[in-house]
Amino acid sequence: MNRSLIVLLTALFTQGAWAETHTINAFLADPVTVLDEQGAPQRDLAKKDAPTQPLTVLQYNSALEIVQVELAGQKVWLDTMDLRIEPPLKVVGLPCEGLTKSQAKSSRNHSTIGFGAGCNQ
Amino acid sequence: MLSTLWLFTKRRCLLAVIIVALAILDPFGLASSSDKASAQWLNRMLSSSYPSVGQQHVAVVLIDDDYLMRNGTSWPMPYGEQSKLFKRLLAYKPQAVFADLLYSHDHSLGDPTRGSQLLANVFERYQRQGIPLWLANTGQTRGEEGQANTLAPFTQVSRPALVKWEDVDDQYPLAVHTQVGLMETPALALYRVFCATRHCGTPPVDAEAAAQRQPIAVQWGLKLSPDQARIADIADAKPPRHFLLDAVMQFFQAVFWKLDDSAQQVYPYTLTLTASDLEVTSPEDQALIAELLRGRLVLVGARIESTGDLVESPVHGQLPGVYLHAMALDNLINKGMDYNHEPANLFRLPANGLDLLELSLLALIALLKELQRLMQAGHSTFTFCRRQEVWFFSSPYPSWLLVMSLLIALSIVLSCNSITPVNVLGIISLSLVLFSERIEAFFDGERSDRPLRDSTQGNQG
Repeated sequence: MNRSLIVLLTALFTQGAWAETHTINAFLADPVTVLDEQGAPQRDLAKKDAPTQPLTVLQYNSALEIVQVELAGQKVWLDTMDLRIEPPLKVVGLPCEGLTKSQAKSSRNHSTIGFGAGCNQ
Repeated sequence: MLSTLWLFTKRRCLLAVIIVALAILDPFGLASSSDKASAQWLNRMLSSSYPSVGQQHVAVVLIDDDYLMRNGTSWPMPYGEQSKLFKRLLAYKPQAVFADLLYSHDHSLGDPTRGSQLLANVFERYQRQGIPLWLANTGQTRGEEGQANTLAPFTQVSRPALVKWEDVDDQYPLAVHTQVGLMETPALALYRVFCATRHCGTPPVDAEAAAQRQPIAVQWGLKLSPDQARIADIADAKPPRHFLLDAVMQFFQAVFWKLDDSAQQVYPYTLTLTASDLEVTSPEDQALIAELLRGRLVLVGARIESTGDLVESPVHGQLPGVYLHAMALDNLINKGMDYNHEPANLFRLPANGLDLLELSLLALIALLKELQRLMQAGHSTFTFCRRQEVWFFSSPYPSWLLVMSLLIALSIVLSCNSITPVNVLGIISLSLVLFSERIEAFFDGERSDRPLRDSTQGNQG
């Protein structure tokens, strides 16, 4: 019984220790727009009124790239672009890809793109 | 001074009338084709000396196939994906944005949680932050006779910019009367924003005044922005050459276009970032993107295979359509309201002042040719300056140089008045008719040499 409990508690705490806690270390925009869960703007928050202490990210909506935090006891959503989050939620480097080239004058494409799977997403 | 009318027989006068009618009516579009070829050649010639002022204020963000594949998404992009793209752009604080995307059909399948509202929410944020946003608009009444136009949720959070027009060929109008009213095009809309914060040529007071103005004869630029290499691999871009060398190269390419019709430059003139560039997450990369986009006039367009929005540039070949708006805006920033344009048509005729100038030059060539022929045939002189006249018509070169001088002077005057040049190639080609005897003599050998020499002697005798 005791052994099982120890194993269970160990597993529970190990998982908790491995799960990353993301914190907001800085507000980059001024003002920061406070959003609802659909990304609709609700109000503006001046940078001077923003918390100076690191703020814990409660949820991350990767589809809209917004995070939920608690501000003055209220849960709100913020745009990740307005924040410096550590560790980063996502790491994307500058692709430095070749710039799209023009097509020859004689180039022709007699087709129209069809709707893809993304249309019902 | 003798009247020139009697120099020509009635039949020749009739021929002249027919030529004028042909020039105005342009049957089979031959004259138009010649005009277009000449304009495109000059556009290429002048592209390397095109000033870079506008290039520092305009940027294009391009959604490409690579971005779609990288993000595992499709075209048209789901609204959620688009909302992410536009909110990233918003974070870089552009001065104003035009999206060359037509939101004419809702593809969210009625799901309000994932529908067009997601994107409208982001567009609303642009409004709140005071960043003007224009969306492409066809100027048509939506739903009437199957016509498409922007969906209502988007019209409420953006401004419309006209992207569809007719009757101006390759030119770019400032404003057009449409089914839904008078509308301005993206270049003018963005230029107004530019002028609100910087000193520039005063734009038209309103859309009505803009609609009265002639459309822009867009001059394309050649040299890439120095910033382009900071965000894209353009190692194979053609290095800039000296203007004169480039002009010579362009001349030979125009002559031997059948052998080499490659583009002068394969990369667009306007500073271009891809949608993938906006995804960067490191502070250093974000700082670079912010440096390139902050305070710029940004045009968002797409280059997706099989979407079909392509524009032909004399310098580049085919480019995504958004570059036409960007280049027209660039022209406005560079030259203000003194942009290059064609003169208006005369008295509702399908001809303008340039056509008259071209016809005048053709008439001059015909007159010189006739005088040359008469002098060589032993006709007496026509003016009191007998010696000079004999000298002038003893060879076709003075006549040809006179025509060329007039052509150059005319081009300079037109250029100073921001009017597009006359059909330079056509005039130069037709002026060679002054050398017809010499050319015939050259190919006929000695036999044809004699009459020419004899006739010259006759003139002097």
